[in-house]
Amino acid sequence: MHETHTVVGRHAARFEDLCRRELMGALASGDDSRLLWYFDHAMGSGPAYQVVTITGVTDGGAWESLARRMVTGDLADLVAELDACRYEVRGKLLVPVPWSAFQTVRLGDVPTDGREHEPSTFMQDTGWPDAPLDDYIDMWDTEYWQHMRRTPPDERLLDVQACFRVAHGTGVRPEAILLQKVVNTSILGGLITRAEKHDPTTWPGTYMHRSLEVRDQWESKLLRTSRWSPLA
Amino acid sequence: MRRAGPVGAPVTPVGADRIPGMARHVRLPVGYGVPGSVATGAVRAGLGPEVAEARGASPGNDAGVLVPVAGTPAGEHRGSRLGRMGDPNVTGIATGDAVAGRWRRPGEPGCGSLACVLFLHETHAVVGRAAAQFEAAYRDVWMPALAGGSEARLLWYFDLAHGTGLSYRVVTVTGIEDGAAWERLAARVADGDLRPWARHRDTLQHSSTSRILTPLAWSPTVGDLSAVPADPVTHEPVLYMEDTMWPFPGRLRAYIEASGTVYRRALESPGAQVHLSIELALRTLPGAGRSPEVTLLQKVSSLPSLIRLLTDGPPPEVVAPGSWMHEALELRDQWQSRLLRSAPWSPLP
Repeated sequence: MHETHTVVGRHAARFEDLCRRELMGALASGDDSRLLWYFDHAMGSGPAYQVVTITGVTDGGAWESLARRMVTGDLADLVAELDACRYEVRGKLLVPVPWSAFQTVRLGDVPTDGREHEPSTFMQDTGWPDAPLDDYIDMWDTEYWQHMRRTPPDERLLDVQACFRVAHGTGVRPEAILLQKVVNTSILGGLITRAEKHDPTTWPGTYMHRSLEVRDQWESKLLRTSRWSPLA
Repeated sequence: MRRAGPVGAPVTPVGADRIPGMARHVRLPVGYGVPGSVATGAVRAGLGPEVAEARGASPGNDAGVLVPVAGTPAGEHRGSRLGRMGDPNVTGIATGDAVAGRWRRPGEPGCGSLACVLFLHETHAVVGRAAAQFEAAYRDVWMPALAGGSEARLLWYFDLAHGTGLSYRVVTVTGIEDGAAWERLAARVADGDLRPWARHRDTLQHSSTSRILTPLAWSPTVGDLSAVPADPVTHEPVLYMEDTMWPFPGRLRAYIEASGTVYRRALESPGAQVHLSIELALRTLPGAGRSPEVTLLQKVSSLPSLIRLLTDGPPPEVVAPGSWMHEALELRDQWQSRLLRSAPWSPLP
Protein backbone atom coordinates (compact mmCIF):
# COMPACT_ATOMS: atom_id res chain seq x y z
CA MET A 1 0.00 0.00 0.00
CA HIS A 2 1.86 3.01 -1.34
CA GLU A 3 0.90 6.38 0.09
CA THR A 4 2.18 9.84 -0.72
CA HIS A 5 1.50 12.32 2.06
CA THR A 6 1.53 16.08 1.60
CA VAL A 7 2.44 17.10 5.13
CA VAL A 8 1.76 20.38 6.86
CA GLY A 9 5.26 21.73 7.30
CA ARG A 10 4.90 22.90 10.86
CA HIS A 11 3.48 19.50 11.80
CA ALA A 12 6.09 17.43 10.02
CA ALA A 13 7.79 16.23 13.21
CA ARG A 14 4.44 15.35 14.75
CA PHE A 15 3.44 13.42 11.64
CA GLU A 16 6.62 11.40 11.65
CA ASP A 17 6.32 10.74 15.36
CA LEU A 18 2.77 9.45 14.96
CA CYS A 19 3.90 7.10 12.24
CA ARG A 20 6.84 5.88 14.28
CA ARG A 21 5.30 5.71 17.74
CA GLU A 22 1.72 4.86 16.92
CA LEU A 23 1.09 3.57 13.42
CA MET A 24 4.00 1.18 13.11
CA GLY A 25 3.09 -0.50 16.38
CA ALA A 26 -0.60 -0.60 15.60
CA LEU A 27 0.07 -2.39 12.34
CA ALA A 28 2.22 -4.89 14.21
CA SER A 29 -0.72 -6.01 16.35
CA GLY A 30 -1.66 -8.53 13.68
CA ASP A 31 0.25 -10.66 11.25
CA ASP A 32 -1.20 -9.41 7.97
CA SER A 33 0.24 -5.91 7.65
CA ARG A 34 3.48 -4.04 8.45
CA LEU A 35 4.89 -0.63 7.76
CA LEU A 36 7.84 -1.35 5.47
CA TRP A 37 9.34 1.99 4.41
CA TYR A 38 9.06 5.55 5.60
CA PHE A 39 10.61 7.97 3.11
CA ASP A 40 11.09 11.71 3.02
CA HIS A 41 11.14 13.21 -0.44
CA ALA A 42 14.61 14.77 -0.54
CA MET A 43 14.23 18.51 -0.21
CA GLY A 44 15.74 20.30 -3.15
CA SER A 45 14.59 17.69 -5.60
CA GLY A 46 10.84 18.18 -5.66
CA PRO A 47 7.90 19.11 -3.49
CA ALA A 48 8.45 20.22 0.09
CA TYR A 49 7.27 18.17 3.04
CA GLN A 50 6.26 15.15 1.08
CA VAL A 51 6.45 11.75 2.73
CA VAL A 52 6.06 8.35 1.07
CA THR A 53 5.13 5.29 3.10
CA ILE A 54 4.84 1.74 1.88
CA THR A 55 2.87 -0.71 3.98
CA GLY A 56 2.90 -4.41 3.22
CA VAL A 57 -0.39 -6.29 3.37
CA THR A 58 -0.76 -9.98 2.75
CA ASP A 59 -3.76 -9.91 0.40
CA GLY A 60 -6.92 -8.11 -0.62
CA GLY A 61 -8.81 -9.12 2.46
CA ALA A 62 -6.01 -7.85 4.69
CA TRP A 63 -6.04 -4.54 2.85
CA GLU A 64 -9.77 -4.16 3.30
CA SER A 65 -9.48 -5.04 6.97
CA LEU A 66 -6.74 -2.45 7.44
CA ALA A 67 -8.65 0.17 5.46
CA ARG A 68 -11.76 -0.31 7.56
CA ARG A 69 -9.73 -0.16 10.77
CA MET A 70 -8.48 3.19 9.56
CA VAL A 71 -11.88 4.48 8.50
CA THR A 72 -14.18 3.33 11.25
CA GLY A 73 -12.20 1.02 13.51
CA ASP A 74 -9.54 1.17 16.17
CA LEU A 75 -7.17 3.20 13.97
CA ALA A 76 -9.69 5.91 13.11
CA ASP A 77 -8.58 8.25 15.88
CA LEU A 78 -4.95 7.86 14.90
CA VAL A 79 -5.78 8.52 11.26
CA ALA A 80 -7.69 11.62 12.33
CA GLU A 81 -4.53 12.83 14.08
CA LEU A 82 -2.50 12.09 10.97
CA ASP A 83 -5.08 13.89 8.86
CA ALA A 84 -4.62 16.97 11.01
CA CYS A 85 -0.92 16.92 10.13
CA ARG A 86 -1.29 16.59 6.37
CA TYR A 87 -3.08 18.31 3.56
CA GLU A 88 -3.83 15.08 1.80
CA VAL A 89 -2.69 11.55 1.18
CA ARG A 90 -2.86 9.68 -2.12
CA GLY A 91 -2.72 5.92 -1.99
CA LYS A 92 -2.51 3.03 -4.40
CA LEU A 93 -2.06 -0.68 -4.11
CA LEU A 94 0.95 -2.12 -5.88
CA VAL A 95 1.77 -5.67 -6.85
CA PRO A 96 5.20 -6.85 -8.02
CA VAL A 97 5.53 -7.69 -11.69
CA PRO A 98 6.68 -11.26 -12.41
CA TRP A 99 10.32 -10.36 -13.01
CA SER A 100 10.68 -8.08 -10.00
CA ALA A 101 13.42 -9.11 -7.58
CA PHE A 102 11.15 -8.08 -4.75
CA GLN A 103 8.22 -10.47 -4.71
CA THR A 104 7.30 -10.90 -1.10
CA VAL A 105 8.44 -10.06 2.38
CA ARG A 106 8.11 -12.04 5.59
CA LEU A 107 6.06 -9.57 7.53
CA GLY A 108 6.92 -11.26 10.80
CA ASP A 109 10.58 -10.44 10.24
CA VAL A 110 10.03 -6.74 9.65
CA PRO A 111 11.26 -4.67 12.61
CA THR A 112 8.61 -2.80 14.52
CA ASP A 113 10.71 -1.35 17.31
CA GLY A 114 12.00 1.74 15.54
CA ARG A 115 15.60 0.64 15.59
CA GLU A 116 17.84 3.14 13.87
CA HIS A 117 20.18 2.83 10.93
CA GLU A 118 21.83 5.02 8.37
CA PRO A 119 19.38 6.46 5.87
CA SER A 120 19.32 5.12 2.34
CA THR A 121 18.42 7.02 -0.78
CA PHE A 122 16.10 5.59 -3.38
CA MET A 123 15.09 6.73 -6.83
CA GLN A 124 11.42 5.97 -7.37
CA ASP A 125 10.54 6.10 -11.06
CA THR A 126 6.90 6.21 -12.04
CA GLY A 127 6.22 5.78 -15.72
CA TRP A 128 3.16 6.27 -17.85
CA PRO A 129 3.49 4.53 -21.21
CA ASP A 130 1.57 5.36 -24.32
CA ALA A 131 1.70 1.69 -25.31
CA PRO A 132 -0.13 -1.17 -23.62
CA LEU A 133 1.03 -1.51 -20.04
CA ASP A 134 2.25 -5.07 -20.50
CA ASP A 135 4.57 -3.96 -23.29
CA TYR A 136 6.06 -1.29 -21.05
CA ILE A 137 6.67 -3.72 -18.21
CA ASP A 138 8.26 -6.18 -20.61
CA MET A 139 10.49 -3.44 -21.96
CA TRP A 140 11.62 -2.55 -18.46
CA ASP A 141 12.66 -6.17 -18.01
CA THR A 142 14.48 -6.82 -21.24
CA GLU A 143 15.87 -3.38 -21.97
CA TYR A 144 16.41 -1.83 -18.56
CA TRP A 145 16.68 -4.31 -15.74
CA GLN A 146 18.70 -6.85 -17.66
CA HIS A 147 21.05 -4.09 -18.77
CA MET A 148 21.41 -2.81 -15.22
CA ARG A 149 22.27 -6.30 -13.99
CA ARG A 150 25.06 -6.55 -16.56
CA THR A 151 26.55 -3.21 -15.63
CA PRO A 152 29.82 -3.56 -13.66
CA PRO A 153 29.29 -2.81 -9.97
CA ASP A 154 31.56 0.22 -9.94
CA GLU A 155 29.55 1.76 -12.77
CA ARG A 156 26.17 1.19 -11.23
CA LEU A 157 24.08 4.06 -10.09
CA LEU A 158 21.05 2.07 -9.05
CA ASP A 159 20.09 -1.29 -7.67
CA VAL A 160 16.65 -2.10 -9.05
CA GLN A 161 15.02 -3.59 -6.00
CA ALA A 162 11.40 -3.78 -7.08
CA CYS A 163 9.08 -3.18 -9.98
CA PHE A 164 5.39 -2.77 -9.37
CA ARG A 165 2.22 -2.35 -11.33
CA VAL A 166 -0.82 -0.61 -9.91
CA ALA A 167 -3.47 -3.08 -8.83
CA HIS A 168 -6.65 -2.70 -10.80
CA GLY A 169 -8.92 0.00 -9.54
CA THR A 170 -6.55 1.73 -7.16
CA GLY A 171 -4.77 4.33 -9.24
CA VAL A 172 -3.68 5.30 -12.70
CA ARG A 173 -3.48 2.94 -15.63
CA PRO A 174 -1.19 2.65 -17.45
CA GLU A 175 1.39 3.14 -14.71
CA ALA A 176 4.30 1.17 -13.36
CA ILE A 177 6.87 1.91 -10.67
CA LEU A 178 10.51 1.12 -10.15
CA LEU A 179 11.94 1.29 -6.64
CA GLN A 180 15.70 1.60 -6.96
CA LYS A 181 18.33 2.10 -4.31
CA VAL A 182 21.01 4.64 -5.11
CA VAL A 183 24.27 2.73 -4.68
CA ASN A 184 26.73 5.34 -5.91
CA THR A 185 26.09 8.94 -5.00
CA SER A 186 28.96 10.25 -7.08
CA ILE A 187 27.36 8.81 -10.19
CA LEU A 188 24.10 10.39 -9.08
CA GLY A 189 25.89 13.72 -8.88
CA GLY A 190 27.27 13.16 -12.33
CA LEU A 191 23.87 12.29 -13.71
CA ILE A 192 22.54 15.56 -12.39
CA THR A 193 25.41 17.83 -13.31
CA ARG A 194 27.18 16.31 -16.28
CA ALA A 195 24.47 15.48 -18.68
CA GLU A 196 26.82 15.03 -21.61
CA LYS A 197 28.64 12.20 -19.84
CA HIS A 198 25.79 10.62 -17.97
CA ASP A 199 22.96 11.26 -20.34
CA PRO A 200 21.12 7.94 -20.37
CA THR A 201 20.56 8.29 -24.09
CA THR A 202 24.24 7.46 -24.52
CA TRP A 203 24.15 4.34 -22.41
CA PRO A 204 25.08 1.08 -24.09
CA GLY A 205 22.18 -0.49 -25.83
CA THR A 206 20.52 2.87 -26.37
CA TYR A 207 17.74 1.86 -24.02
CA MET A 208 16.55 5.42 -23.79
CA HIS A 209 16.07 5.64 -27.53
CA ARG A 210 14.26 2.38 -27.96
CA SER A 211 12.04 2.94 -24.98
CA LEU A 212 10.67 6.05 -26.62
CA GLU A 213 8.57 3.62 -28.60
CA VAL A 214 6.51 2.91 -25.51
CA ARG A 215 6.87 5.97 -23.27
CA ASP A 216 8.28 9.43 -22.92
CA GLN A 217 6.66 10.51 -19.67
CA TRP A 218 7.88 9.51 -16.24
CA GLU A 219 8.73 11.05 -12.92
CA SER A 220 11.75 10.36 -10.75
CA LYS A 221 11.59 11.01 -7.04
CA LEU A 222 14.58 10.93 -4.75
CA LEU A 223 13.39 9.41 -1.52
CA ARG A 224 15.44 9.10 1.66
CA THR A 225 14.50 6.58 4.29
CA SER A 226 14.11 7.81 7.81
CA ARG A 227 16.62 6.44 10.29
CA TRP A 228 13.90 4.31 11.86
CA SER A 229 12.28 3.09 8.64
CA PRO A 230 11.71 -0.65 9.12
CA LEU A 231 13.36 -1.37 5.77
CA ALA A 232 16.29 0.66 4.51
CA MET B 1 -43.62 31.05 -12.95
CA ARG B 2 -43.79 30.99 -9.24
CA ARG B 3 -41.26 33.34 -7.81
CA ALA B 4 -38.95 32.55 -5.02
CA GLY B 5 -39.09 34.12 -1.65
CA PRO B 6 -37.47 37.45 -0.96
CA VAL B 7 -33.77 37.67 -1.30
CA GLY B 8 -32.22 38.18 2.04
CA ALA B 9 -35.02 36.48 3.87
CA PRO B 10 -34.32 35.95 7.54
CA VAL B 11 -32.73 32.72 8.46
CA THR B 12 -33.47 30.33 11.19
CA PRO B 13 -31.05 28.00 12.90
CA VAL B 14 -31.03 24.32 12.21
CA GLY B 15 -31.29 23.61 15.87
CA ALA B 16 -30.34 19.97 16.13
CA ASP B 17 -27.99 20.07 13.23
CA ARG B 18 -25.07 21.84 14.69
CA ILE B 19 -22.11 21.15 12.48
CA PRO B 20 -19.38 19.47 14.50
CA GLY B 21 -16.51 21.77 15.17
CA MET B 22 -18.33 24.84 14.00
CA ALA B 23 -18.62 27.88 16.14
CA ARG B 24 -22.21 28.58 15.23
CA HIS B 25 -25.31 26.77 14.29
CA VAL B 26 -25.93 26.50 10.60
CA ARG B 27 -28.78 28.68 9.63
CA LEU B 28 -30.90 28.02 6.64
CA PRO B 29 -33.41 30.26 4.95
CA VAL B 30 -36.87 30.40 6.41
CA GLY B 31 -39.07 28.00 4.58
CA TYR B 32 -36.15 25.82 3.77
CA GLY B 33 -37.37 23.04 1.63
CA VAL B 34 -40.91 24.29 1.61
CA PRO B 35 -42.62 24.99 -1.68
CA GLY B 36 -42.75 28.63 -2.54
CA SER B 37 -40.05 29.65 -0.17
CA VAL B 38 -36.67 31.15 -0.71
CA ALA B 39 -34.92 29.40 -3.48
CA THR B 40 -35.11 29.36 -7.21
CA GLY B 41 -32.48 27.55 -9.18
CA ALA B 42 -30.05 27.26 -6.40
CA VAL B 43 -27.38 25.05 -7.81
CA ARG B 44 -24.81 27.08 -9.71
CA ALA B 45 -22.01 26.09 -11.90
CA GLY B 46 -19.05 25.43 -9.70
CA LEU B 47 -20.91 25.82 -6.49
CA GLY B 48 -22.21 22.30 -6.14
CA PRO B 49 -25.48 21.00 -4.94
CA GLU B 50 -25.10 22.27 -1.45
CA VAL B 51 -26.32 25.56 -2.77
CA ALA B 52 -29.53 23.81 -3.55
CA GLU B 53 -29.74 22.64 -0.01
CA ALA B 54 -29.20 26.04 1.43
CA ARG B 55 -31.75 27.60 -0.83
CA GLY B 56 -34.37 24.98 -0.50
CA ALA B 57 -33.74 24.30 -4.16
CA SER B 58 -37.24 24.89 -5.33
CA PRO B 59 -37.32 25.22 -9.08
CA GLY B 60 -40.52 27.10 -8.56
CA ASN B 61 -42.02 26.87 -11.99
CA ASP B 62 -44.75 25.01 -13.73
CA ALA B 63 -42.61 22.82 -15.89
CA GLY B 64 -40.24 20.87 -13.85
CA VAL B 65 -41.28 21.37 -10.30
CA LEU B 66 -41.31 18.13 -8.40
CA VAL B 67 -43.77 17.52 -5.68
CA PRO B 68 -43.71 14.79 -3.10
CA VAL B 69 -46.05 11.95 -3.72
CA ALA B 70 -48.96 12.31 -1.37
CA GLY B 71 -48.65 10.04 1.56
CA THR B 72 -45.07 9.11 0.84
CA PRO B 73 -43.22 8.62 4.09
CA ALA B 74 -40.57 11.18 4.71
CA GLY B 75 -37.86 8.60 4.59
CA GLU B 76 -38.80 7.68 1.06
CA HIS B 77 -38.79 11.11 -0.46
CA ARG B 78 -35.19 10.90 -1.51
CA GLY B 79 -35.72 7.74 -3.39
CA SER B 80 -38.87 8.91 -4.98
CA ARG B 81 -37.49 11.51 -7.32
CA LEU B 82 -36.11 9.84 -10.34
CA GLY B 83 -36.23 12.41 -13.06
CA ARG B 84 -35.19 11.51 -16.57
CA MET B 85 -33.36 13.45 -19.20
CA GLY B 86 -36.16 12.98 -21.62
CA ASP B 87 -38.81 13.87 -19.15
CA PRO B 88 -38.20 17.46 -18.22
CA ASN B 89 -41.74 18.32 -17.35
CA VAL B 90 -42.32 15.80 -14.70
CA THR B 91 -44.80 17.09 -12.18
CA GLY B 92 -45.22 14.04 -10.04
CA ILE B 93 -43.03 11.06 -9.45
CA ALA B 94 -43.80 7.62 -8.28
CA THR B 95 -41.65 5.95 -5.70
CA GLY B 96 -38.14 4.91 -6.55
CA ASP B 97 -39.07 1.28 -6.30
CA ALA B 98 -41.83 1.73 -8.82
CA VAL B 99 -39.77 3.66 -11.32
CA ALA B 100 -36.13 2.84 -11.38
CA GLY B 101 -34.73 2.66 -7.93
CA ARG B 102 -35.36 -0.98 -7.27
CA TRP B 103 -31.76 -1.58 -6.35
CA ARG B 104 -31.96 0.90 -3.59
CA ARG B 105 -34.15 0.41 -0.60
CA PRO B 106 -35.70 3.68 0.46
CA GLY B 107 -35.66 4.02 4.18
CA GLU B 108 -33.20 1.21 4.59
CA PRO B 109 -30.64 1.82 7.31
CA GLY B 110 -27.38 3.17 6.02
CA CYS B 111 -24.34 1.08 5.39
CA GLY B 112 -21.51 1.11 7.84
CA SER B 113 -20.48 -2.45 8.41
CA LEU B 114 -17.73 -4.63 7.08
CA ALA B 115 -20.28 -6.20 4.79
CA CYS B 116 -20.57 -3.01 2.71
CA VAL B 117 -19.94 -3.25 -0.97
CA LEU B 118 -16.76 -1.72 -2.33
CA PHE B 119 -17.22 0.67 -5.22
CA LEU B 120 -14.51 0.64 -7.86
CA HIS B 121 -14.78 4.08 -9.44
CA GLU B 122 -12.89 4.73 -12.67
CA THR B 123 -12.58 7.86 -14.74
CA HIS B 124 -11.42 7.09 -18.25
CA ALA B 125 -9.83 9.52 -20.70
CA VAL B 126 -11.07 7.84 -23.85
CA VAL B 127 -9.53 8.04 -27.29
CA GLY B 128 -12.16 10.05 -29.09
CA ARG B 129 -12.19 8.08 -32.31
CA ALA B 130 -12.46 4.86 -30.31
CA ALA B 131 -15.28 5.99 -28.04
CA ALA B 132 -17.79 3.53 -29.44
CA GLN B 133 -15.33 0.66 -29.16
CA PHE B 134 -14.54 1.64 -25.60
CA GLU B 135 -18.20 1.58 -24.68
CA ALA B 136 -18.58 -1.79 -26.37
CA ALA B 137 -15.65 -3.15 -24.39
CA TYR B 138 -17.55 -2.48 -21.19
CA ARG B 139 -20.98 -3.47 -22.46
CA ASP B 140 -19.98 -6.60 -24.32
CA VAL B 141 -17.03 -7.89 -22.31
CA TRP B 142 -16.57 -6.37 -18.86
CA MET B 143 -20.23 -6.47 -17.83
CA PRO B 144 -20.86 -10.10 -18.80
CA ALA B 145 -17.43 -11.16 -17.54
CA LEU B 146 -18.51 -10.23 -14.04
CA ALA B 147 -21.77 -12.14 -14.30
CA GLY B 148 -20.24 -15.53 -13.68
CA GLY B 149 -20.44 -15.07 -9.95
CA SER B 150 -22.18 -12.85 -7.49
CA GLU B 151 -19.20 -10.99 -6.08
CA ALA B 152 -18.90 -8.17 -8.62
CA ARG B 153 -21.14 -6.27 -11.02
CA LEU B 154 -20.79 -3.31 -13.30
CA LEU B 155 -23.27 -0.85 -11.81
CA TRP B 156 -23.07 2.32 -13.90
CA TYR B 157 -21.58 3.42 -17.17
CA PHE B 158 -21.62 7.20 -17.46
CA ASP B 159 -20.57 9.70 -20.09
CA LEU B 160 -19.47 13.06 -18.80
CA ALA B 161 -21.89 15.39 -20.56
CA HIS B 162 -20.18 17.22 -23.40
CA GLY B 163 -20.17 20.92 -22.78
CA THR B 164 -19.71 20.60 -19.05
CA GLY B 165 -16.11 19.52 -18.70
CA LEU B 166 -13.34 17.49 -20.24
CA SER B 167 -14.08 15.74 -23.51
CA TYR B 168 -14.47 12.01 -23.92
CA ARG B 169 -14.53 11.21 -20.24
CA VAL B 170 -16.30 8.08 -19.13
CA VAL B 171 -16.98 7.10 -15.55
CA THR B 172 -17.63 3.48 -14.64
CA VAL B 173 -18.63 2.19 -11.23
CA THR B 174 -18.23 -1.48 -10.42
CA GLY B 175 -19.59 -2.95 -7.21
CA ILE B 176 -17.44 -5.56 -5.51
CA GLU B 177 -18.39 -7.71 -2.57
CA ASP B 178 -15.26 -7.24 -0.45
CA GLY B 179 -11.50 -6.96 -0.48
CA ALA B 180 -10.92 -10.60 -1.28
CA ALA B 181 -13.28 -10.37 -4.24
CA TRP B 182 -11.49 -7.25 -5.39
CA GLU B 183 -8.16 -9.06 -5.26
CA ARG B 184 -9.56 -11.88 -7.40
CA LEU B 185 -10.90 -9.40 -9.91
CA ALA B 186 -7.59 -7.52 -10.01
CA ALA B 187 -5.76 -10.78 -10.62
CA ARG B 188 -8.08 -11.58 -13.53
CA VAL B 189 -7.20 -8.21 -15.05
CA ALA B 190 -3.46 -8.51 -14.42
CA ASP B 191 -2.82 -12.13 -15.36
CA GLY B 192 -6.09 -13.93 -15.96
CA ASP B 193 -8.94 -14.15 -18.39
CA LEU B 194 -9.45 -10.37 -18.47
CA ARG B 195 -5.87 -9.58 -19.37
CA PRO B 196 -6.56 -9.46 -23.13
CA TRP B 197 -9.51 -7.19 -22.44
CA ALA B 198 -7.34 -4.89 -20.36
CA ARG B 199 -4.71 -4.80 -23.08
CA HIS B 200 -7.36 -3.95 -25.64
CA ARG B 201 -8.72 -1.26 -23.36
CA ASP B 202 -5.26 0.27 -23.15
CA THR B 203 -5.54 1.03 -26.85
CA LEU B 204 -8.94 2.67 -26.44
CA GLN B 205 -8.13 5.04 -23.59
CA HIS B 206 -5.33 7.46 -22.92
CA SER B 207 -5.46 6.60 -19.25
CA SER B 208 -7.81 5.87 -16.40
CA THR B 209 -7.76 7.00 -12.81
CA SER B 210 -9.35 4.68 -10.31
CA ARG B 211 -10.19 4.55 -6.65
CA ILE B 212 -12.08 2.29 -4.32
CA LEU B 213 -14.83 3.82 -2.25
CA THR B 214 -16.92 2.72 0.69
CA PRO B 215 -20.33 4.07 1.66
CA LEU B 216 -20.70 6.53 4.49
CA ALA B 217 -22.74 5.28 7.40
CA TRP B 218 -25.75 7.27 6.24
CA SER B 219 -25.52 6.40 2.55
CA PRO B 220 -28.32 4.66 0.65
CA THR B 221 -27.35 1.24 -0.62
CA VAL B 222 -27.50 -0.50 -3.97
CA GLY B 223 -28.84 -3.76 -2.62
CA ASP B 224 -27.64 -7.19 -3.60
CA LEU B 225 -25.06 -7.28 -6.34
CA SER B 226 -26.40 -10.54 -7.67
CA ALA B 227 -29.65 -8.78 -8.50
CA VAL B 228 -27.99 -6.24 -10.76
CA PRO B 229 -28.53 -7.13 -14.42
CA ALA B 230 -25.50 -8.31 -16.31
CA ASP B 231 -27.18 -8.23 -19.71
CA PRO B 232 -27.74 -4.98 -21.57
CA VAL B 233 -30.94 -3.32 -20.51
CA THR B 234 -32.57 -0.41 -22.22
CA HIS B 235 -33.78 2.63 -20.38
CA GLU B 236 -33.77 6.36 -20.72
CA PRO B 237 -30.49 8.02 -19.83
CA VAL B 238 -30.47 9.57 -16.40
CA LEU B 239 -28.49 12.63 -15.42
CA TYR B 240 -26.42 12.66 -12.27
CA MET B 241 -24.41 15.30 -10.50
CA GLU B 242 -21.32 13.76 -8.99
CA ASP B 243 -19.72 15.94 -6.34
CA THR B 244 -16.28 15.20 -4.97
CA MET B 245 -15.23 17.19 -1.93
CA TRP B 246 -11.86 17.58 -0.27
CA PRO B 247 -12.27 18.74 3.34
CA PHE B 248 -9.56 20.68 5.11
CA PRO B 249 -6.87 18.82 7.03
CA GLY B 250 -8.37 17.16 10.06
CA ARG B 251 -11.96 18.05 9.14
CA LEU B 252 -13.04 14.92 7.33
CA ARG B 253 -15.03 13.51 10.21
CA ALA B 254 -16.77 16.78 10.82
CA TYR B 255 -17.61 17.14 7.14
CA ILE B 256 -19.01 13.63 6.91
CA GLU B 257 -21.16 14.22 9.95
CA ALA B 258 -22.33 17.60 8.74
CA SER B 259 -23.15 16.38 5.27
CA GLY B 260 -25.23 13.62 6.78
CA THR B 261 -27.04 15.59 9.41
CA VAL B 262 -27.51 18.84 7.53
CA TYR B 263 -27.20 18.34 3.80
CA ARG B 264 -28.77 14.93 3.46
CA ARG B 265 -31.52 15.69 5.90
CA ALA B 266 -32.39 18.78 3.97
CA LEU B 267 -32.77 16.83 0.76
CA GLU B 268 -35.01 14.38 2.56
CA SER B 269 -37.16 16.90 4.37
CA PRO B 270 -40.88 16.18 4.13
CA GLY B 271 -42.38 18.61 1.69
CA ALA B 272 -39.05 19.63 0.33
CA GLN B 273 -38.89 20.48 -3.33
CA VAL B 274 -35.47 19.36 -4.35
CA HIS B 275 -33.97 18.35 -7.60
CA LEU B 276 -31.21 16.09 -6.37
CA SER B 277 -31.45 12.76 -4.65
CA ILE B 278 -28.41 11.13 -3.12
CA GLU B 279 -27.92 7.67 -4.56
CA LEU B 280 -24.61 7.01 -2.87
CA ALA B 281 -22.47 8.87 -0.36
CA LEU B 282 -18.93 7.57 -0.34
CA ARG B 283 -15.46 8.10 1.03
CA THR B 284 -12.24 6.95 -0.50
CA LEU B 285 -10.59 4.03 1.24
CA PRO B 286 -6.99 4.30 2.46
CA GLY B 287 -4.56 2.97 -0.07
CA ALA B 288 -6.95 3.30 -2.98
CA GLY B 289 -7.17 6.97 -3.80
CA ARG B 290 -7.03 10.37 -2.23
CA SER B 291 -7.96 11.36 1.30
CA PRO B 292 -9.65 13.32 2.72
CA GLU B 293 -12.23 12.88 -0.02
CA VAL B 294 -15.99 12.44 -0.07
CA THR B 295 -18.04 11.69 -3.17
CA LEU B 296 -21.77 12.13 -3.56
CA LEU B 297 -23.55 10.54 -6.49
CA GLN B 298 -26.79 12.43 -6.89
CA LYS B 299 -29.58 11.94 -9.34
CA VAL B 300 -30.88 15.08 -11.03
CA SER B 301 -34.62 15.17 -10.87
CA SER B 302 -35.42 18.19 -12.99
CA LEU B 303 -33.53 19.31 -16.06
CA PRO B 304 -35.18 22.75 -16.32
CA SER B 305 -34.31 23.53 -12.76
CA LEU B 306 -30.76 22.36 -13.32
CA ILE B 307 -30.39 24.67 -16.28
CA ARG B 308 -31.60 27.54 -14.17
CA LEU B 309 -29.20 26.57 -11.49
CA LEU B 310 -26.38 26.66 -14.00
CA THR B 311 -27.29 30.02 -15.41
CA ASP B 312 -28.40 32.04 -12.36
CA GLY B 313 -26.12 33.19 -9.64
CA PRO B 314 -26.53 32.24 -6.03
CA PRO B 315 -28.69 34.65 -4.05
CA PRO B 316 -26.96 36.50 -1.28
CA GLU B 317 -28.64 34.58 1.49
CA VAL B 318 -27.09 31.37 0.24
CA VAL B 319 -23.58 32.54 0.89
CA ALA B 320 -24.33 34.91 3.73
CA PRO B 321 -23.06 34.27 7.25
CA GLY B 322 -25.28 31.71 8.91
CA SER B 323 -25.97 29.74 5.77
CA TRP B 324 -24.74 26.19 5.22
CA MET B 325 -22.65 27.35 2.32
CA HIS B 326 -20.95 29.93 4.44
CA GLU B 327 -20.53 27.98 7.63
CA ALA B 328 -19.39 24.82 5.90
CA LEU B 329 -16.46 26.82 4.58
CA GLU B 330 -14.87 25.94 7.90
CA LEU B 331 -14.83 22.35 6.70
CA ARG B 332 -14.09 22.63 3.00
CA ASP B 333 -13.96 25.05 0.14
CA GLN B 334 -12.80 22.81 -2.71
CA TRP B 335 -14.96 20.40 -4.61
CA GLN B 336 -15.70 19.36 -8.16
CA SER B 337 -19.09 18.79 -9.71
CA ARG B 338 -19.48 16.63 -12.81
CA LEU B 339 -22.63 16.08 -14.80
CA LEU B 340 -22.75 12.41 -15.75
CA ARG B 341 -25.30 10.79 -18.04
CA SER B 342 -25.91 7.08 -17.72
CA ALA B 343 -25.75 5.03 -20.90
CA PRO B 344 -29.08 3.56 -22.05
CA TRP B 345 -27.69 0.09 -21.29
CA SER B 346 -26.09 0.97 -17.96
CA PRO B 347 -27.11 -1.78 -15.51
CA LEU B 348 -28.33 0.82 -13.08
CA PRO B 349 -30.05 3.75 -14.76
